[in-house]
Amino acid sequence: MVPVDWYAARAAGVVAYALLTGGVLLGTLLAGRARLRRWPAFAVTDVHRFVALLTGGFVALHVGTVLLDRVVPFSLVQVLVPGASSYRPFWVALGTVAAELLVAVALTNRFRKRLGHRLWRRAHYLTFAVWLAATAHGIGAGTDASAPWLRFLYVVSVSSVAGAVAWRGTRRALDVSPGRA
Amino acid sequence: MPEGSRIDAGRRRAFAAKRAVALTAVGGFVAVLGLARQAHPGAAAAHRPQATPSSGLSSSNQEQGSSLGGGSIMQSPSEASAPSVQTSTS
Repeated sequence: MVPVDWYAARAAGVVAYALLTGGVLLGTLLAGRARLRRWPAFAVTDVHRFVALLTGGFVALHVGTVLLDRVVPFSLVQVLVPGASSYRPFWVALGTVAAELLVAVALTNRFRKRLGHRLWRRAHYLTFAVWLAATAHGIGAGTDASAPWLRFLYVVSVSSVAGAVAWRGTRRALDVSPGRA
Repeated sequence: MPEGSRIDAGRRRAFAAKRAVALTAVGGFVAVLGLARQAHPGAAAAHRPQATPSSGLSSSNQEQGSSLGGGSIMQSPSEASAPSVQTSTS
């Protein structure tokens, strides 16, 4: 009988990735100062923080169930040290790096006042690296990566984040253009 | 609209959105769990018609070293507890 933790590890990873994408999209909207009717910035920030916390929860569930799983067994060292895994080492290492960077970003949020806005903001850009590493990890290490429903999720996620980043870049370009000064 | 009610409306929307996100995440987790389970070869074998020689090999086949064993496919508990009897005459 296949243990439930194997399925739970995969499901938690997929949900964590979807939530991470949502968090990145909301963060990009906030950074671009998007004006949404009926949605004040504090409300969007509140949802963004909640999505980020939920992402952390599902990442923890993913890592926890991976440690419990006996189908593809992982030791604590293999989970914590990038490249220590014997199963698809490079792709698993990307997942480890993504999770550890996510913890680092969470810590910068915790000590935001001490760090100052400028440093915090720069550190917050690491979330894009987290998202990129998580995307590659899911595609390269995921057992279901070839499943049509998961391919659909990846296509929607990548295109929406690429679109949001392009929108943000356009807004920034408009902000700094001499005509707007 | 007065400032206070705008803030209250924003809070209510944020609360509703957070609840929707949490419910969608939990629902998504359960749905993906089901999809992952369905995609597993063991589950596929469990849904295969009985005529396919996946688990009910006759002793003569085993003696002849038949390659139809499919030894890596896991049996579901129901399959394991109720051995199938092949009645194919082809």
